[in-house]
Amino acid sequence: MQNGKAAFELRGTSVVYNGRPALDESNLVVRAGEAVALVGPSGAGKTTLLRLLTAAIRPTRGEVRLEDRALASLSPAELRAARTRIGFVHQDLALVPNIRVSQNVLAGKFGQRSFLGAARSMILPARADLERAAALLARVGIGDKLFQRTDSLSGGQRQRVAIARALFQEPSVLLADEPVSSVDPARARDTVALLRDVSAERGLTLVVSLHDLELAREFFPRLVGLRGGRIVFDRETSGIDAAEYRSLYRLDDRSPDGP
Amino acid sequence: MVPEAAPRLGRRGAVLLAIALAALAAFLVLDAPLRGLVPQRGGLSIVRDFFARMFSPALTYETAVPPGSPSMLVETLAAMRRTLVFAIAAMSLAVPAGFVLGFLGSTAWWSGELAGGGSGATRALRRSVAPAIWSATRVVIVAMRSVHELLWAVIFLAAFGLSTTSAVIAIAIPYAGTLAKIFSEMMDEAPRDAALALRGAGAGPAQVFCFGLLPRALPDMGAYAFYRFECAVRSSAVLGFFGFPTLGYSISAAFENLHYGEVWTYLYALAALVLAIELWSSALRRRFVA
Repeated sequence: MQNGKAAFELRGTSVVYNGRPALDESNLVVRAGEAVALVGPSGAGKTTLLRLLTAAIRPTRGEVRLEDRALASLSPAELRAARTRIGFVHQDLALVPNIRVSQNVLAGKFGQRSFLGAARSMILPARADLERAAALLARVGIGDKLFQRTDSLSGGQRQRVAIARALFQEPSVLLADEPVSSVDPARARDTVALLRDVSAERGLTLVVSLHDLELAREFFPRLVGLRGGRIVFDRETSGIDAAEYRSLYRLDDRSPDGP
Repeated sequence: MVPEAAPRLGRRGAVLLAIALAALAAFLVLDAPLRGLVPQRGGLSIVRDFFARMFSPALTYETAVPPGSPSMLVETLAAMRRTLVFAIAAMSLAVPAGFVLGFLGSTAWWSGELAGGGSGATRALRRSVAPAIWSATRVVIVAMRSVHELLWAVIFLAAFGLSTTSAVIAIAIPYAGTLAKIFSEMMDEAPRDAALALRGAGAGPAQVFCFGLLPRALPDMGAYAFYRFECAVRSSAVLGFFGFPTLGYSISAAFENLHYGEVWTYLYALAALVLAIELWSSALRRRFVA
Protein backbone atom coordinates (compact mmCIF):
# COMPACT_ATOMS: atom_id res chain seq x y z
CA MET A 1 0.00 0.00 0.00
CA GLN A 2 2.89 2.35 0.70
CA ASN A 3 3.81 4.26 -2.41
CA GLY A 4 6.42 6.39 -0.73
CA LYS A 5 4.62 9.72 -1.07
CA ALA A 6 4.33 11.61 2.21
CA ALA A 7 0.74 12.17 3.34
CA PHE A 8 1.82 14.14 6.39
CA GLU A 9 5.04 15.55 7.62
CA LEU A 10 6.04 17.36 10.78
CA ARG A 11 9.35 19.23 10.63
CA GLY A 12 10.70 20.40 13.96
CA THR A 13 7.14 21.18 15.00
CA SER A 14 6.33 22.58 18.44
CA VAL A 15 3.02 23.62 19.94
CA VAL A 16 3.12 25.70 23.10
CA TYR A 17 0.04 26.20 25.27
CA ASN A 18 0.34 28.82 28.00
CA GLY A 19 4.12 28.54 28.00
CA ARG A 20 4.13 24.73 28.23
CA PRO A 21 5.03 22.65 25.19
CA ALA A 22 2.22 20.25 24.27
CA LEU A 23 4.40 19.04 21.43
CA ASP A 24 8.13 19.64 21.36
CA GLU A 25 10.37 19.79 18.28
CA SER A 26 8.77 16.78 16.68
CA ASN A 27 9.63 15.20 13.34
CA LEU A 28 7.31 12.68 11.76
CA VAL A 29 6.57 11.40 8.27
CA VAL A 30 3.43 9.41 7.51
CA ARG A 31 3.39 7.95 4.01
CA ALA A 32 0.25 7.67 1.89
CA GLY A 33 -1.66 4.48 2.60
CA GLU A 34 0.14 3.83 5.86
CA ALA A 35 -1.62 2.85 9.12
CA VAL A 36 -0.08 4.43 12.18
CA ALA A 37 -1.15 4.43 15.81
CA LEU A 38 -0.11 7.18 18.19
CA VAL A 39 0.33 5.66 21.65
CA GLY A 40 1.17 7.09 25.03
CA PRO A 41 -0.38 8.28 28.27
CA SER A 42 -3.00 11.00 28.31
CA GLY A 43 -1.46 14.44 28.00
CA ALA A 44 1.38 13.04 25.88
CA GLY A 45 0.46 15.18 22.87
CA LYS A 46 -1.48 12.68 20.76
CA THR A 47 -4.51 14.89 20.31
CA THR A 48 -2.34 17.95 19.69
CA LEU A 49 -0.54 16.07 16.94
CA LEU A 50 -3.81 15.04 15.29
CA ARG A 51 -5.17 18.57 15.50
CA LEU A 52 -2.04 19.87 13.82
CA LEU A 53 -2.61 17.52 10.91
CA THR A 54 -6.10 18.97 10.29
CA ALA A 55 -4.86 22.56 10.70
CA ALA A 56 -7.30 22.98 13.59
CA ILE A 57 -4.33 24.50 15.43
CA ARG A 58 -1.18 26.16 14.10
CA PRO A 59 2.29 25.15 15.20
CA THR A 60 4.15 27.62 17.42
CA ARG A 61 7.39 26.67 15.67
CA GLY A 62 8.26 24.40 12.78
CA GLU A 63 6.15 23.21 9.92
CA VAL A 64 3.25 20.91 9.10
CA ARG A 65 3.15 19.58 5.54
CA LEU A 66 0.16 17.92 3.93
CA GLU A 67 0.82 16.00 0.69
CA ASP A 68 4.11 17.89 0.34
CA ARG A 69 2.66 21.35 0.79
CA ALA A 70 3.18 23.47 3.90
CA LEU A 71 -0.21 24.06 5.54
CA ALA A 72 0.85 27.58 6.54
CA SER A 73 1.33 28.55 2.88
CA LEU A 74 -2.21 27.60 1.79
CA SER A 75 -4.79 30.28 1.01
CA PRO A 76 -8.13 30.01 2.89
CA ALA A 77 -9.73 28.42 -0.17
CA GLU A 78 -6.87 25.94 -0.53
CA LEU A 79 -7.03 25.14 3.16
CA ARG A 80 -10.76 24.42 2.88
CA ALA A 81 -10.09 22.19 -0.11
CA ALA A 82 -7.31 20.41 1.80
CA ARG A 83 -9.62 19.85 4.76
CA THR A 84 -12.22 18.14 2.59
CA ARG A 85 -9.60 15.44 1.99
CA ILE A 86 -9.18 14.73 5.71
CA GLY A 87 -11.82 12.64 7.48
CA PHE A 88 -11.70 13.01 11.24
CA VAL A 89 -13.49 10.84 13.80
CA HIS A 90 -13.60 13.02 16.90
CA GLN A 91 -13.28 11.64 20.40
CA ASP A 92 -16.63 13.19 21.37
CA LEU A 93 -17.99 12.23 17.90
CA ALA A 94 -19.19 15.83 17.29
CA LEU A 95 -22.49 14.85 15.67
CA VAL A 96 -25.59 17.02 15.70
CA PRO A 97 -27.84 14.95 17.99
CA ASN A 98 -31.26 16.29 17.03
CA ILE A 99 -31.16 15.59 13.31
CA ARG A 100 -31.34 12.36 11.34
CA VAL A 101 -28.43 9.99 10.87
CA SER A 102 -28.67 10.59 7.11
CA GLN A 103 -28.29 14.34 7.63
CA ASN A 104 -25.22 13.91 9.81
CA VAL A 105 -23.63 11.64 7.21
CA LEU A 106 -24.45 13.96 4.30
CA ALA A 107 -22.94 16.88 6.25
CA GLY A 108 -19.56 15.27 5.59
CA LYS A 109 -19.70 16.63 2.04
CA PHE A 110 -20.40 20.28 2.98
CA GLY A 111 -16.84 21.29 2.18
CA GLN A 112 -17.42 20.36 -1.44
CA ARG A 113 -20.79 22.05 -1.72
CA SER A 114 -22.14 25.57 -1.97
CA PHE A 115 -24.32 26.89 0.84
CA LEU A 116 -27.46 26.19 -1.19
CA GLY A 117 -26.18 22.77 -2.14
CA ALA A 118 -25.63 22.01 1.54
CA ALA A 119 -29.09 23.33 2.44
CA ARG A 120 -30.65 21.18 -0.26
CA SER A 121 -28.82 18.08 0.95
CA MET A 122 -30.23 18.69 4.44
CA ILE A 123 -33.83 19.30 3.32
CA LEU A 124 -34.27 17.43 0.04
CA PRO A 125 -31.30 15.08 -0.30
CA ALA A 126 -30.54 13.66 -3.73
CA ARG A 127 -31.30 9.97 -4.16
CA ALA A 128 -27.68 9.23 -5.11
CA ASP A 129 -26.44 10.82 -1.86
CA LEU A 130 -28.90 8.84 0.23
CA GLU A 131 -27.93 5.62 -1.52
CA ARG A 132 -24.26 6.28 -0.87
CA ALA A 133 -24.95 7.16 2.78
CA ALA A 134 -27.03 3.98 3.15
CA ALA A 135 -24.23 1.90 1.64
CA LEU A 136 -21.66 3.42 4.02
CA LEU A 137 -23.92 2.87 7.02
CA ALA A 138 -24.39 -0.73 5.93
CA ARG A 139 -20.62 -1.05 5.64
CA VAL A 140 -20.09 0.17 9.21
CA GLY A 141 -22.87 -2.12 10.45
CA ILE A 142 -25.88 0.15 11.05
CA GLY A 143 -27.57 0.04 7.65
CA ASP A 144 -31.06 0.14 9.17
CA LYS A 145 -30.54 3.46 10.99
CA LEU A 146 -30.50 5.82 7.99
CA PHE A 147 -33.57 7.86 8.89
CA GLN A 148 -33.42 7.58 12.68
CA ARG A 149 -32.78 10.57 14.87
CA THR A 150 -29.12 10.52 15.81
CA ASP A 151 -29.69 10.85 19.56
CA SER A 152 -31.89 7.76 19.55
CA LEU A 153 -28.80 5.64 18.80
CA SER A 154 -26.46 3.99 21.32
CA GLY A 155 -22.93 5.31 21.86
CA GLY A 156 -21.41 2.58 19.71
CA GLN A 157 -23.89 3.19 16.90
CA ARG A 158 -23.26 6.93 17.01
CA GLN A 159 -19.56 6.29 16.68
CA ARG A 160 -20.32 4.38 13.49
CA VAL A 161 -22.30 7.37 12.23
CA ALA A 162 -19.22 9.53 12.85
CA ILE A 163 -17.09 7.07 10.88
CA ALA A 164 -19.64 7.00 8.05
CA ARG A 165 -19.68 10.81 7.96
CA ALA A 166 -15.89 10.90 7.63
CA LEU A 167 -16.01 8.30 4.83
CA PHE A 168 -18.81 10.15 3.03
CA GLN A 169 -16.33 12.98 2.60
CA GLU A 170 -14.34 10.66 0.30
CA PRO A 171 -11.14 11.62 2.11
CA SER A 172 -7.63 10.47 1.31
CA VAL A 173 -6.80 10.36 5.00
CA LEU A 174 -8.72 9.10 8.00
CA LEU A 175 -7.78 10.41 11.45
CA ALA A 176 -9.36 9.16 14.68
CA ASP A 177 -8.82 10.56 18.15
CA GLU A 178 -9.16 7.88 20.86
CA PRO A 179 -11.93 6.08 18.96
CA VAL A 180 -12.38 3.47 21.69
CA SER A 181 -12.78 5.80 24.64
CA SER A 182 -16.54 6.07 24.15
CA VAL A 183 -17.31 2.36 23.67
CA ASP A 184 -17.11 -0.65 25.95
CA PRO A 185 -14.05 -2.94 25.71
CA ALA A 186 -15.88 -5.60 23.70
CA ARG A 187 -16.73 -3.03 21.03
CA ALA A 188 -13.29 -1.40 21.11
CA ARG A 189 -11.69 -4.22 19.11
CA ASP A 190 -14.48 -4.12 16.52
CA THR A 191 -14.11 -0.37 16.16
CA VAL A 192 -10.37 -0.45 15.59
CA ALA A 193 -10.74 -3.38 13.19
CA LEU A 194 -13.43 -1.48 11.31
CA LEU A 195 -11.23 1.61 10.97
CA ARG A 196 -8.37 -0.57 9.67
CA ASP A 197 -10.61 -2.43 7.22
CA VAL A 198 -12.39 0.57 5.71
CA SER A 199 -9.07 2.39 5.33
CA ALA A 200 -7.45 -0.60 3.65
CA GLU A 201 -10.42 -1.07 1.29
CA ARG A 202 -10.21 2.55 0.16
CA GLY A 203 -6.45 2.95 0.28
CA LEU A 204 -6.70 5.66 2.94
CA THR A 205 -3.88 6.79 5.16
CA LEU A 206 -4.95 6.03 8.73
CA VAL A 207 -3.65 7.77 11.85
CA VAL A 208 -5.29 6.81 15.13
CA SER A 209 -4.49 7.84 18.68
CA LEU A 210 -4.98 5.00 21.14
CA HIS A 211 -4.33 4.74 24.84
CA ASP A 212 -4.88 0.97 24.60
CA LEU A 213 -1.43 -0.38 23.78
CA GLU A 214 -2.62 -3.95 23.18
CA LEU A 215 -5.08 -2.87 20.49
CA ALA A 216 -2.44 -0.67 18.88
CA ARG A 217 0.05 -3.55 18.71
CA GLU A 218 -2.53 -5.96 17.34
CA PHE A 219 -3.81 -3.78 14.52
CA PHE A 220 -1.09 -1.35 13.51
CA PRO A 221 2.19 -2.15 11.75
CA ARG A 222 3.78 1.09 12.95
CA LEU A 223 3.56 2.78 16.32
CA VAL A 224 4.57 6.28 17.33
CA GLY A 225 5.09 6.54 21.09
CA LEU A 226 4.59 9.94 22.69
CA ARG A 227 5.35 11.07 26.18
CA GLY A 228 5.32 14.60 27.58
CA GLY A 229 5.05 16.14 24.11
CA ARG A 230 8.04 14.22 22.69
CA ILE A 231 8.16 11.35 20.23
CA VAL A 232 9.88 8.61 22.24
CA PHE A 233 9.88 5.95 19.52
CA ASP A 234 8.62 5.64 15.97
CA ARG A 235 9.09 2.15 14.62
CA GLU A 236 7.61 -1.02 13.18
CA THR A 237 5.51 -2.65 15.87
CA SER A 238 7.46 -5.92 15.74
CA GLY A 239 10.73 -4.14 16.55
CA ILE A 240 9.60 -2.42 19.72
CA ASP A 241 10.65 -4.14 22.94
CA ALA A 242 8.99 -4.25 26.31
CA ALA A 243 11.43 -1.78 27.87
CA GLU A 244 10.41 0.86 25.35
CA TYR A 245 6.73 0.34 26.12
CA ARG A 246 7.49 0.61 29.82
CA SER A 247 9.41 3.83 29.28
CA LEU A 248 6.27 5.26 27.72
CA TYR A 249 4.15 4.75 30.81
CA ARG A 250 6.73 4.82 33.61
CA LEU A 251 5.70 6.99 36.50
CA ASP A 252 9.08 7.73 38.13
CA ASP A 253 9.70 10.74 35.89
CA ARG A 254 8.31 14.22 36.51
CA SER A 255 4.56 14.29 36.09
CA PRO A 256 3.41 15.58 32.70
CA ASP A 257 1.91 18.56 34.51
CA GLY A 258 5.47 19.71 34.87
CA PRO A 259 7.22 22.04 37.27
CA MET B 1 -7.01 25.20 63.68
CA VAL B 2 -9.08 28.38 63.65
CA PRO B 3 -7.52 30.97 61.36
CA GLU B 4 -6.13 33.78 63.41
CA ALA B 5 -7.77 36.64 61.60
CA ALA B 6 -11.00 35.38 60.05
CA PRO B 7 -12.55 38.12 57.90
CA ARG B 8 -15.37 39.63 59.93
CA LEU B 9 -17.56 40.45 56.94
CA GLY B 10 -16.87 38.52 53.74
CA ARG B 11 -17.78 39.66 50.26
CA ARG B 12 -21.00 37.70 50.35
CA GLY B 13 -21.93 39.11 53.73
CA ALA B 14 -21.38 42.64 52.47
CA VAL B 15 -23.65 42.04 49.48
CA LEU B 16 -26.41 40.56 51.66
CA LEU B 17 -26.15 43.47 54.09
CA ALA B 18 -26.38 45.97 51.22
CA ILE B 19 -29.51 44.25 49.86
CA ALA B 20 -31.14 44.31 53.31
CA LEU B 21 -30.31 48.00 53.74
CA ALA B 22 -31.68 48.80 50.28
CA ALA B 23 -34.94 47.01 51.11
CA LEU B 24 -35.24 48.91 54.40
CA ALA B 25 -34.55 52.21 52.63
CA ALA B 26 -37.21 51.43 50.03
CA PHE B 27 -39.85 50.89 52.74
CA LEU B 28 -38.90 54.12 54.50
CA VAL B 29 -38.89 56.16 51.28
CA LEU B 30 -42.28 54.75 50.25
CA ASP B 31 -43.73 55.71 53.65
CA ALA B 32 -44.42 52.28 55.12
CA PRO B 33 -46.45 50.75 52.27
CA LEU B 34 -47.43 47.82 54.48
CA ARG B 35 -50.04 50.04 56.16
CA GLY B 36 -51.58 50.58 52.73
CA LEU B 37 -52.33 46.85 52.47
CA VAL B 38 -55.07 47.07 55.11
CA PRO B 39 -58.21 47.68 53.01
CA GLN B 40 -60.51 50.56 53.74
CA ARG B 41 -64.02 49.75 54.86
CA GLY B 42 -65.57 50.19 51.39
CA GLY B 43 -62.69 48.33 49.77
CA LEU B 44 -63.23 45.31 51.99
CA SER B 45 -66.82 44.94 50.79
CA ILE B 46 -65.67 45.19 47.15
CA VAL B 47 -63.13 42.43 47.76
CA ARG B 48 -65.81 40.33 49.42
CA ASP B 49 -68.29 40.86 46.57
CA PHE B 50 -65.59 40.16 43.99
CA PHE B 51 -64.44 36.88 45.49
CA ALA B 52 -68.03 35.84 46.20
CA ARG B 53 -68.44 35.35 42.44
CA MET B 54 -65.25 33.33 42.06
CA PHE B 55 -67.10 30.03 41.73
CA SER B 56 -70.16 31.44 40.00
CA PRO B 57 -68.92 33.26 36.88
CA ALA B 58 -71.63 34.87 34.79
CA LEU B 59 -73.02 32.84 31.88
CA THR B 60 -75.34 35.66 30.80
CA TYR B 61 -74.96 39.44 31.10
CA GLU B 62 -75.66 40.71 34.57
CA THR B 63 -77.81 43.62 33.29
CA ALA B 64 -79.95 44.09 30.24
CA VAL B 65 -78.04 44.74 27.01
CA PRO B 66 -79.28 46.41 23.83
CA PRO B 67 -81.29 44.04 21.64
CA GLY B 68 -79.22 42.39 18.95
CA SER B 69 -76.08 42.20 21.12
CA PRO B 70 -74.28 38.85 20.93
CA SER B 71 -74.83 36.54 23.87
CA MET B 72 -72.33 36.53 26.73
CA LEU B 73 -70.83 33.25 25.58
CA VAL B 74 -70.42 34.41 21.99
CA GLU B 75 -68.93 37.71 23.16
CA THR B 76 -66.43 35.89 25.40
CA LEU B 77 -65.32 33.63 22.56
CA ALA B 78 -64.99 36.62 20.24
CA ALA B 79 -62.86 38.50 22.80
CA MET B 80 -60.69 35.40 23.21
CA ARG B 81 -60.26 35.18 19.45
CA ARG B 82 -59.28 38.87 19.20
CA THR B 83 -56.82 38.50 22.11
CA LEU B 84 -55.22 35.55 20.35
CA VAL B 85 -55.10 37.32 16.96
CA PHE B 86 -53.30 40.35 18.45
CA ALA B 87 -50.76 38.06 20.12
CA ILE B 88 -50.20 36.00 16.95
CA ALA B 89 -49.75 39.11 14.82
CA ALA B 90 -47.28 40.57 17.33
CA MET B 91 -45.29 37.32 17.58
CA SER B 92 -45.15 36.87 13.80
CA LEU B 93 -43.28 40.19 13.70
CA ALA B 94 -41.27 39.64 16.88
CA VAL B 95 -39.89 36.16 16.13
CA PRO B 96 -38.23 36.95 12.76
CA ALA B 97 -36.98 40.31 14.05
CA GLY B 98 -35.70 38.67 17.24
CA PHE B 99 -33.96 35.98 15.21
CA VAL B 100 -32.15 38.47 12.95
CA LEU B 101 -31.18 40.76 15.85
CA GLY B 102 -30.19 37.77 17.97
CA PHE B 103 -27.92 36.53 15.19
CA LEU B 104 -26.34 39.97 14.76
CA GLY B 105 -25.93 40.32 18.52
CA SER B 106 -24.38 36.89 19.09
CA THR B 107 -20.64 36.37 19.23
CA ALA B 108 -20.82 32.88 17.71
CA TRP B 109 -20.77 34.28 14.20
CA TRP B 110 -18.67 37.43 14.62
CA SER B 111 -15.89 35.87 16.68
CA GLY B 112 -14.67 34.17 13.53
CA GLU B 113 -14.23 30.92 15.43
CA LEU B 114 -16.52 29.17 12.97
CA ALA B 115 -14.86 30.73 9.94
CA GLY B 116 -11.60 28.88 10.43
CA GLY B 117 -8.69 31.03 9.38
CA GLY B 118 -9.52 33.29 6.48
CA SER B 119 -6.97 35.51 4.82
CA GLY B 120 -5.25 38.30 6.72
CA ALA B 121 -7.48 40.91 5.10
CA THR B 122 -10.76 39.22 6.07
CA ARG B 123 -9.48 38.68 9.59
CA ALA B 124 -8.55 42.35 9.93
CA LEU B 125 -11.93 43.37 8.53
CA ARG B 126 -13.71 41.06 10.92
CA ARG B 127 -11.73 42.40 13.87
CA SER B 128 -12.66 46.01 13.07
CA VAL B 129 -16.23 45.69 11.78
CA ALA B 130 -17.58 42.86 13.93
CA PRO B 131 -17.39 44.63 17.31
CA ALA B 132 -19.17 47.66 15.82
CA ILE B 133 -22.06 45.59 14.46
CA TRP B 134 -22.17 43.50 17.58
CA SER B 135 -22.32 46.43 20.00
CA ALA B 136 -24.72 48.51 17.87
CA THR B 137 -27.10 45.54 17.82
CA ARG B 138 -26.80 45.16 21.58
CA VAL B 139 -27.75 48.83 22.07
CA VAL B 140 -30.80 48.45 19.81
CA ILE B 141 -31.87 45.31 21.68
CA VAL B 142 -31.59 47.03 25.06
CA ALA B 143 -33.53 50.06 23.79
CA MET B 144 -36.36 47.83 22.55
CA ARG B 145 -36.48 45.83 25.75
CA SER B 146 -36.19 48.61 28.28
CA VAL B 147 -39.53 50.17 27.35
CA HIS B 148 -42.47 48.02 28.46
CA GLU B 149 -45.18 47.08 25.93
CA LEU B 150 -47.72 49.19 27.86
CA LEU B 151 -45.50 52.26 27.48
CA TRP B 152 -45.00 51.52 23.78
CA ALA B 153 -48.81 51.28 23.58
CA VAL B 154 -49.18 54.70 25.21
CA ILE B 155 -46.75 56.20 22.68
CA PHE B 156 -48.44 54.56 19.69
CA LEU B 157 -51.91 55.45 20.96
CA ALA B 158 -50.83 59.08 21.04
CA ALA B 159 -49.29 58.83 17.58
CA PHE B 160 -51.74 56.63 15.67
CA GLY B 161 -54.84 56.44 17.85
CA LEU B 162 -56.68 53.26 18.71
CA SER B 163 -55.61 51.23 15.68
CA THR B 164 -54.93 47.52 15.61
CA THR B 165 -51.46 48.22 14.25
CA SER B 166 -50.46 50.28 17.29
CA ALA B 167 -51.32 47.44 19.65
CA VAL B 168 -49.54 44.83 17.52
CA ILE B 169 -46.38 46.92 17.16
CA ALA B 170 -46.43 47.92 20.83
CA ILE B 171 -46.20 44.24 21.75
CA ALA B 172 -43.86 43.28 18.90
CA ILE B 173 -41.07 45.77 19.73
CA PRO B 174 -40.21 44.77 23.32
CA TYR B 175 -40.88 41.12 22.52
CA ALA B 176 -38.47 41.21 19.57
CA GLY B 177 -35.88 42.74 21.90
CA THR B 178 -36.31 40.08 24.57
CA LEU B 179 -36.32 37.27 22.01
CA ALA B 180 -33.16 38.73 20.41
CA LYS B 181 -31.36 38.81 23.75
CA ILE B 182 -32.26 35.23 24.66
CA PHE B 183 -31.77 33.89 21.10
CA SER B 184 -28.27 35.40 20.92
CA GLU B 185 -27.36 33.79 24.24
CA MET B 186 -28.73 30.44 23.08
CA MET B 187 -26.73 30.62 19.84
CA ASP B 188 -23.60 31.46 21.82
CA GLU B 189 -24.12 28.71 24.37
CA ALA B 190 -25.02 25.91 21.95
CA PRO B 191 -22.37 23.16 21.93
CA ARG B 192 -19.80 23.87 19.23
CA ASP B 193 -18.34 20.39 18.76
CA ALA B 194 -20.34 19.49 15.65
CA ALA B 195 -19.82 22.97 14.17
CA LEU B 196 -16.05 22.70 14.60
CA ALA B 197 -16.09 19.20 13.14
CA LEU B 198 -17.82 20.50 10.00
CA ARG B 199 -15.30 23.31 9.81
CA GLY B 200 -12.56 20.71 10.06
CA ALA B 201 -14.08 18.91 7.07
CA GLY B 202 -13.82 22.06 4.97
CA ALA B 203 -17.33 23.49 5.37
CA GLY B 204 -17.78 27.26 4.96
CA PRO B 205 -18.79 29.52 7.84
CA ALA B 206 -22.44 29.87 6.75
CA GLN B 207 -22.79 26.09 6.44
CA VAL B 208 -21.07 25.59 9.78
CA PHE B 209 -23.39 28.08 11.48
CA CYS B 210 -26.66 26.95 9.89
CA PHE B 211 -26.17 23.20 10.02
CA GLY B 212 -23.61 22.64 12.78
CA LEU B 213 -24.53 25.24 15.39
CA LEU B 214 -28.11 26.39 14.80
CA PRO B 215 -29.73 22.93 15.05
CA ARG B 216 -28.29 22.64 18.57
CA ALA B 217 -29.95 25.93 19.61
CA LEU B 218 -33.27 25.62 17.75
CA PRO B 219 -35.19 23.40 20.23
CA ASP B 220 -34.44 25.82 23.08
CA MET B 221 -35.20 28.82 20.89
CA GLY B 222 -38.52 27.29 19.86
CA ALA B 223 -39.49 26.50 23.45
CA TYR B 224 -38.61 30.04 24.53
CA ALA B 225 -40.57 31.58 21.62
CA PHE B 226 -43.57 29.54 22.76
CA TYR B 227 -43.22 30.82 26.29
CA ARG B 228 -43.08 34.39 24.95
CA PHE B 229 -46.21 33.67 22.89
CA GLU B 230 -47.95 32.80 26.12
CA CYS B 231 -46.75 36.12 27.59
CA ALA B 232 -47.92 37.93 24.45
CA VAL B 233 -51.44 36.58 24.97
CA ARG B 234 -51.46 38.09 28.47
CA SER B 235 -49.99 41.38 27.19
CA SER B 236 -52.60 41.47 24.45
CA ALA B 237 -55.33 40.97 27.05
CA VAL B 238 -53.93 43.74 29.26
CA LEU B 239 -53.78 46.16 26.33
CA GLY B 240 -57.55 45.92 26.36
CA PHE B 241 -57.50 48.29 29.34
CA PHE B 242 -56.47 50.99 26.83
CA GLY B 243 -59.54 50.27 24.76
CA PHE B 244 -58.27 47.65 22.32
CA PRO B 245 -61.03 45.04 21.88
CA THR B 246 -59.29 42.19 23.71
CA LEU B 247 -60.27 40.38 26.92
CA GLY B 248 -58.84 43.24 28.98
CA TYR B 249 -61.41 45.61 27.51
CA SER B 250 -64.23 43.28 28.55
CA ILE B 251 -62.69 42.85 32.01
CA SER B 252 -62.31 46.57 32.65
CA ALA B 253 -65.82 47.35 31.38
CA ALA B 254 -67.38 44.63 33.55
CA PHE B 255 -65.33 45.73 36.56
CA GLU B 256 -66.40 49.34 36.24
CA ASN B 257 -70.03 48.22 36.15
CA LEU B 258 -69.42 46.05 39.24
CA HIS B 259 -70.37 42.96 37.18
CA TYR B 260 -67.99 40.70 39.07
CA GLY B 261 -69.50 37.53 37.63
CA GLU B 262 -68.61 38.70 34.14
CA VAL B 263 -65.11 39.65 35.30
CA TRP B 264 -64.58 36.08 36.50
CA THR B 265 -65.89 34.68 33.22
CA TYR B 266 -63.36 36.73 31.23
CA LEU B 267 -60.54 35.87 33.67
CA TYR B 268 -61.30 32.18 33.30
CA ALA B 269 -61.37 32.64 29.52
CA LEU B 270 -57.89 34.19 29.67
CA ALA B 271 -56.63 31.39 31.91
CA ALA B 272 -58.10 28.86 29.48
CA LEU B 273 -56.24 30.50 26.59
CA VAL B 274 -52.92 30.45 28.42
CA LEU B 275 -53.51 26.86 29.56
CA ALA B 276 -54.33 25.75 26.01
CA ILE B 277 -51.06 27.24 24.72
CA GLU B 278 -49.16 25.59 27.56
CA LEU B 279 -50.67 22.19 26.71
CA TRP B 280 -49.92 22.66 23.03
CA SER B 281 -46.30 23.70 23.63
CA SER B 282 -45.62 20.85 26.04
CA ALA B 283 -47.07 18.41 23.50
CA LEU B 284 -44.69 19.83 20.90
CA ARG B 285 -41.77 19.65 23.32
CA ARG B 286 -42.50 15.98 23.97
CA ARG B 287 -42.45 15.37 20.23
CA PHE B 288 -39.26 17.25 19.43
CA VAL B 289 -37.09 16.95 22.52
CA ALA B 290 -37.96 13.39 23.57
